[in-house]
Amino acid sequence: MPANPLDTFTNQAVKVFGNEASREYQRRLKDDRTLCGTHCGSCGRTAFPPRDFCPDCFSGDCSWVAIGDGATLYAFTTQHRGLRFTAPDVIGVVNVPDVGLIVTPLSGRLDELEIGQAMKPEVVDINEKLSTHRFIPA
Amino acid sequence: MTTSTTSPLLAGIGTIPVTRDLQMPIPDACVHVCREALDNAGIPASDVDGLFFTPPAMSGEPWMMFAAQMGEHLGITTKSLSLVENGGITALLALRSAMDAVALGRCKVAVVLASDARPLLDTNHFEAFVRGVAFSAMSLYGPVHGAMGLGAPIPIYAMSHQRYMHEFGVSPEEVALSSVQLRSHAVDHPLAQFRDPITVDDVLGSKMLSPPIHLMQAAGISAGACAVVVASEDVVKATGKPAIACSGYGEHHHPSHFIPRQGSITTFESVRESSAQAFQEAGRSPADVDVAEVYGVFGATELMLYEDLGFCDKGKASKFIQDGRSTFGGDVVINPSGGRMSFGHPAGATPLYEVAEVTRQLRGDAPGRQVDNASVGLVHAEHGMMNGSIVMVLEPWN
Repeated sequence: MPANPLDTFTNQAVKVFGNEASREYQRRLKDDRTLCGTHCGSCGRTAFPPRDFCPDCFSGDCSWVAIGDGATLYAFTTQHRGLRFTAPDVIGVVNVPDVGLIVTPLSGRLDELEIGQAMKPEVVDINEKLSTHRFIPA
Repeated sequence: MTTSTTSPLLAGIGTIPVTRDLQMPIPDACVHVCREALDNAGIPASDVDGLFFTPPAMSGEPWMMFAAQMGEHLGITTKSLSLVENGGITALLALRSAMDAVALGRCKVAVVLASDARPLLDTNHFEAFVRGVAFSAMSLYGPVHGAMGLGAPIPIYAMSHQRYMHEFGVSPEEVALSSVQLRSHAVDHPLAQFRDPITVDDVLGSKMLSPPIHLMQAAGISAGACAVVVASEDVVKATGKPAIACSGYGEHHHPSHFIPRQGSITTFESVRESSAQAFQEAGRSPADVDVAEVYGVFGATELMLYEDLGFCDKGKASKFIQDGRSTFGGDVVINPSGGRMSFGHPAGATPLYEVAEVTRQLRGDAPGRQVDNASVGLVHAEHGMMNGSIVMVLEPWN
């Protein structure tokens, strides 16, 4: 199977534009099987995507925290020309307590999903170097 | 030190028809609209001392030093030269930059030149498309978003559309009204890309892209070019031609990209904030506006814009359309060009086309689609999914 060009370009983009926090995010996803954000010890907000500073109060006092518990489905749709998953590629937005809205791939059929339903995160390995999160009905 | 001594005025416009593919090379399109705009303004090219560009094909390969190269090609010496880019709002940001430069006295006659073409969306260039669009989309948060394979904005707007129906109890038929109304405006517009009349059944019977968005509820693939001449008051006075003033300006960028982590995806903070600023500066209210061009790239987005700009209550835009209040003879004519869905949407140039339409309307120079007694106009453009917006209130000068 030919390599997905997305792999090459994701790796290039990470090298050129990525940041340290997003690399640590990927390591935690891949090695620890945990979806993480960063929690600010100063103002208490949780950032996602994670940062090594707080985008709410600019404090550098940030620590890693697992997120996703208590998530609910906020909106969902499909894309037919997704660059990664085969059609129909179901994606959505979940509302995660203490974090807010997160865009995410979903597992499940479109006609079985419903706004407001309980969701939980899981880790999907794309290849040996790259993983992503997706949410599934809890 | 320079001091502000003049209001920057919109003195002339140049356009080519919007088409799927650009009908001439990009530099030729830029020269064409530049010459037309200067002729329209009654200002010779030798008086131009500012040039402001948008990237020639926004989603394409970078073209280094495009502004300087085009300055050379046009043979124009400048005191202010720039290329501006930030997604869909690009051309209005370039216009704002030109107006700032004229207001500061850095130049007296600036031409804003915007063009767009989408060669990379050709399916024969799929890999180039992946590189050009997905690479930049995933860049900063590559490990977070890159792996998901999200490469286009349509699914994101689809979820906004879904939430809009969910939160306000609006039906698919009601959302489809925006497409039908805009098409009715485009039917006789000489520059518009899509001009065959359509019905609600046509809209809901067209191919489903990302549910609930149908093909006829999305802007198509478009190319085009547009130029606007910005000049100081003394220059305009000498021409004796009618010019347009920006009586109110508002700009607001929410710290988010497409989906705000906190906040709504059916009420756009940037639209509310930027329009409030612009109306306050102009001493106007939404009820004063006779003609507006707004950046509704999808069917439900068009509706939400009418609401967030203050033309009608939240959740009531389809009723506003149904009652004939957003078309000729109504409260305000919104998108007399046909809007992004029917006029066509060469994104890098779209905001300047909006300015061109409102300018023609305010000058009484829109035969076949003239809004009666148009004296207050509004232009809106955005980037992301309304994450950032600019609103300008435009009125005839003197």
